[in-house]
Amino acid sequence: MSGLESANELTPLLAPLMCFLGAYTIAVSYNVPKRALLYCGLLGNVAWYVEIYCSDLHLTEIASNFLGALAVALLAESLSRMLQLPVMCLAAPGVIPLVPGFKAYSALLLYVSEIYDQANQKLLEALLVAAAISAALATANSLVLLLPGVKRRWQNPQSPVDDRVLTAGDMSALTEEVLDRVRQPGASTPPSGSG
Amino acid sequence: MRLVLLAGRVMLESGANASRIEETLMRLALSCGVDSIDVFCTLTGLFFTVVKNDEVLTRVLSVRQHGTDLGRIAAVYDLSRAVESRAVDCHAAIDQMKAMVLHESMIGYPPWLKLACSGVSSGAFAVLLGGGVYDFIPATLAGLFAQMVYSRLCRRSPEFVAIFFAVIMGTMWALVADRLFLGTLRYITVGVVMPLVPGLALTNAVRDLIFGDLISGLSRGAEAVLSASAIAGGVYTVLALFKMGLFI
Repeated sequence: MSGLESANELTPLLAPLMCFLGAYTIAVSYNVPKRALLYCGLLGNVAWYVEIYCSDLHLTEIASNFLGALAVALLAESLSRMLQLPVMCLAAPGVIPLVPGFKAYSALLLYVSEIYDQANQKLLEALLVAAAISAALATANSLVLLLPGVKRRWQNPQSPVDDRVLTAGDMSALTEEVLDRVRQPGASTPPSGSG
Repeated sequence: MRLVLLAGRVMLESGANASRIEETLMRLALSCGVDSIDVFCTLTGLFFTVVKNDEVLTRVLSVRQHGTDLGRIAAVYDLSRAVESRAVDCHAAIDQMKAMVLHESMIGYPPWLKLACSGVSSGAFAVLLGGGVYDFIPATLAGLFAQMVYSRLCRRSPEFVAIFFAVIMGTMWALVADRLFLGTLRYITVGVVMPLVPGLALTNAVRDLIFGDLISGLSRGAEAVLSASAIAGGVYTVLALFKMGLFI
């Protein structure tokens, strides 16, 4: 099959276009709001370029995927604040071009051919790349939370278990009630049992 | 109370992560004049307690359907901001939220467009991951077909089964295209599988785990692993049949 050679010739021209198209259409199928679609496509391109650049620098595959996803996630964090959207709207379609689909496929092909050692190796590679991508997203999220002026989480102003809900008086009334219930069957059953 | 219930349902159904659901529900409730609220969120259900004027109300909400719909998450988020800034009052918000629950495809794009787009994304990824330009059209068609099978099946069968059969169908098409010299089997298959990959579930799982929502994170992780193994099983089945020489 002559797929590989022709693909290698066309890649410099085609890859950016396909990246953009892939991320954009995935965003539509995830139902991302219209104002974010263009950014999703561009983030797909960013992911691809960073990954290619890092692997040209002879970084390992996992590291380059991590950095690609990290770049996308950081951009997505800032864009999501600009567009007032959840981060996932931008980050999820953005990292899609990095998903190690082909690795997973070749692992399966090797499993079918019963070449288990190579298959395990491929599968592990695919899993590690996937883990690197999701770790990058989580890292970006935590990095942003370290910045000053960003709330960690919406804090509940009052915890429900404060004295507005259960006062000391309530507490003692409650225990009385529970004790009554415990006592009653104990008080009622022996007569019925004996009678 | 009802607003919180509806909002929680919409968000869980569309695959939002736990910390976002908790944050949004708290915002909504507190801006509707509730004294305090506590939310506990898992993947398949949601418990929350609302306190107002020494009155305590607790609700349990169970959600069986899951999907990926970032548009609905964004819409709920926008609504919670609007309620918070008093642009929309509580009753109007309840009406809007009800409409969102009843008409699933109200927000965003029509279903056929989403279907077509996931088909095109299959084509794009087939080319991106090493295929030639001629792989684009067969992969698009196969991806479209797989997505149609998936969206039909996932209404009446578990997601695992739906993904499994969708992948089998898509890979069969890839095989046919390969035999007819219209494209390359491997690239088309990878393209077909791409839109079904549980990428969002996986990243949400990691995020939930890291931010301390351990139950939600673990169950999301299980869901992602399950979908991934359904995909792998589907592709494996077709490839194994192919190796056995059933399709030559």
